[in-house]
Amino acid sequence: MFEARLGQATILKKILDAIKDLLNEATFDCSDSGIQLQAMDNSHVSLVSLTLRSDGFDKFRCDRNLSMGMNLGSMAKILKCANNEDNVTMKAQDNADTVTIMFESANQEKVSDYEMKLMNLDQEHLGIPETDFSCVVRMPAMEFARICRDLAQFSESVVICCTKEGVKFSASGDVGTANIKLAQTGSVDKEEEAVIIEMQEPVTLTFACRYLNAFTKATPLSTQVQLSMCADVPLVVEYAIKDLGHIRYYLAPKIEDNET
Amino acid sequence: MSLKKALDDCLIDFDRRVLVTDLLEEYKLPYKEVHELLEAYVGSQEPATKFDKRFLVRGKRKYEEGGTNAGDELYSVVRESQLPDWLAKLQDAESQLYSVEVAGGSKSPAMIFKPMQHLEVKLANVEQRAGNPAPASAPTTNGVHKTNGVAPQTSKKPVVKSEPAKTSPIKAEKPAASKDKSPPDVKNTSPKGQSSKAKPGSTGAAKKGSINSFFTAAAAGSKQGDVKATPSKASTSSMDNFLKKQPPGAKKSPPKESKKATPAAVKKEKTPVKKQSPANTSVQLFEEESGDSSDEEEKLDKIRRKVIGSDNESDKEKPSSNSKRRRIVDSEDEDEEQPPKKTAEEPAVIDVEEMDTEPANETYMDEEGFVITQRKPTKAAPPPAKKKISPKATAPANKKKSPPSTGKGGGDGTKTKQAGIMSFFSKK
Repeated sequence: MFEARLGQATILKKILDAIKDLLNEATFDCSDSGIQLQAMDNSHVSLVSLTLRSDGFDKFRCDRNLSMGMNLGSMAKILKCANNEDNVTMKAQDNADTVTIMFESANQEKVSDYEMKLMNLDQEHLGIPETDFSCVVRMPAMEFARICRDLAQFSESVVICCTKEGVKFSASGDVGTANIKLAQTGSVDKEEEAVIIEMQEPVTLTFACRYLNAFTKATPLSTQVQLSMCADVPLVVEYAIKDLGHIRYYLAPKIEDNET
Repeated sequence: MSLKKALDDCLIDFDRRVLVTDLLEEYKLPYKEVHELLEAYVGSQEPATKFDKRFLVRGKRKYEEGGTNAGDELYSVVRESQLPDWLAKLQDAESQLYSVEVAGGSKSPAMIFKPMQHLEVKLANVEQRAGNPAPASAPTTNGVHKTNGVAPQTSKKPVVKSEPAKTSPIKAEKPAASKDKSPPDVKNTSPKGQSSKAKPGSTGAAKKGSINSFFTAAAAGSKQGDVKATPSKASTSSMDNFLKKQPPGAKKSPPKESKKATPAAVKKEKTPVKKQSPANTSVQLFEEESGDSSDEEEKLDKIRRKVIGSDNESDKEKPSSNSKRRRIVDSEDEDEEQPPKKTAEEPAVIDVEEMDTEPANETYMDEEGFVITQRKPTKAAPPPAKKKISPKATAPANKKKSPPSTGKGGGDGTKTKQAGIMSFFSKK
C-alpha cells in the first residue's frame, strides 16, 4: 500500500509543470524514504532527478517499494482539476496497475478522485557520481529564467563563464552578441535575491539554451537556483522544494566538434 | 474540439490568463458565443473559484477643463474592479470581456495585451491600400494638427492605439518611395548593379513603410558599391583561378611572369599597336604572358618584327620565349583568353597540344620560322563563350560565399556539438 498526502495541490502542479516539458513519461519510485524520479529526456541530453522526502508530506506510507510509471501529460491533466489549495493524496495498492489521485477542498466539502493507469516503462537509471564542482553559483531563480529566455533569442547555445569576478552568460548569433554578467552580491537584505559564487577554479562551458529554458519551468518551485559546474561534466541546475526535497537537472555540455 | 467541450473537460488552463482573443482564434467562434460560454463557465465555477476578469473598454475621452485631448478615442484593458470607474470616465463607453484567469494563479500570466493575428493582417492590407491614394494624406495632416495640442497623450493613460499614429507611417511612405527611385539613377554606370538594385528597390517601395524603405534603399546603395567594387576583383580572381586551372605545364609560368611583369610593361609603352581592352585585368594578364591580343595582320607583323629583334638578342633568354608566346596568343585573338601554356623551347609540341584541345585552331610555321596558331572565326566563337561564362559563374559564387564565411567565422568561433548525458553517467 502506498499513500502520500500533500497539503497543497499547487506544489504537485508546479512539480509536474517543471518536468513535463522534458519528459513525456517517467517512473516515480516510491519507498519509505520518499518519492524519487530519475529520467532522461528523449534526446538523452539532459537528466531530471526529483526527490520528495517522505517527511515533507503530510502523510506518507509506503509498505513496499513501488515503481509507478506514469504519463506525465495525463497526470498534469488530472492535476489541473485540482484547486491550488486542495489537499492531494496519491494512493496505490501493491502491484496495482492504477494510481488514485484524490483532491479534497480545504473545507472538506468537495472530494474528487481520479484513477490513472500506470505504465511499465523501461527504466534506465543512471549512476550519478558525486562531483566536486569547480564552481557553484546560487542566484535568484527568476533572474536565471530571465537570462535564459533573453539569451535564447540570440543563439541556440549559451556560454556560462564563471570566474572569481562573477558569472557571465553569453550568446552569439546572427543577430549579434549578448553578454550578461552577474557579480557576487555583497550584502543583500533578502536572501532570495543574493548571487553567491563558490569557485575553486574558473570554468567556461557551453550549453543548449533550449534545455536551460526547459529547466526554468521549475522557477515557481524555488526562489533560488543553484548552478554547479565543472569542466567536462554536466551542469547541475538545482531547485530546492521547500520542506519537501529538490529537483535537479543535469545537462551535458556542448563540446568542441573535432570532426569539422 | 468545441470551446464548450474544452471548458467542460478542463482543458483550458485558467491558472494562466486566458485571453478571449486567443479563444476566438483557436476555436474560430464569434465573440458573442465565446463570451457567453466563458461567462457561463466562469459563473458555474465562481463560488468555489475566484476569477480575475479583465475587460476591454472603449470610449471617448470626456471634455475636461483645460483638457486638450478631449474626444479622443481610448482603448484600454482594465480589471473588473476598475471597470465602473472607466465606464464613468469615458463618453460612449463600451466594455467587453477580454481575459479571465484564476485569481492568484500559480503560473506566470500570459501577455496582458495580445491582439488577434488575423485582424492584424487585415489592418495591414487596409493600410497598404490607403497609403497609395492622395486622400490618405489628408487625415494625417489633421492628425498632425491635433497632436500639436495633444502631445502628452501617450503618457497620460494606457491607451492602446490611436488612429492618427497608424496613418503617419503611411504618409512617410511617399518620400521614401521617391528616395528609392533616385539612387538607381545615380548608379547607372554599372549595369549589373543596376539590375540587382532595381529589384529590391521596387519591392521595398511597394510593400514597406517609409522608414523601412529608406533603410532598404541605403542598404542597397552600399550593396551596389560592393557590387561595383567586387566585379573587378572578381574578374581578376576568376582569371587567377582560370590560370591556376591550366595544365601543369603552365603552372610554372606564373611566378616567372610576375618577375617579367615590369619589362613587359615597358614594352607595352613602346608599342603603340597595343590596345587596351575595357577589361584591364585581362590585358595585364596577357601582357605578362604574351603581350597584346590583336588579330590584325598589321599588328601581328609589328609584333613579329619586335619578336625577331628580341630573338636576335638572345634566343635562350626568357624574354624571347615570352615574345614567341605572345605571337602565338596574338594570332589567337583577343577572345582567346587561354594563355599559352608552354615553355618557348618546344613551341611545336605546344601547338600539338593546342591542336588536341582546340581543333578549330590552325597552326602553321611562317617564313621566319615561327609557329603561328590562328583560330578560325567560326569555330573560335564557342570556346571563348565558355571561358567567359565560367569566370563569371565562379566569381559571384566566390563573392557570395566569402562574406558569409567571414561572418560565420566571427560569430561561431569554434563549432560545438551536443554531448549526450549517457557519456557522463553510467547505467546502474
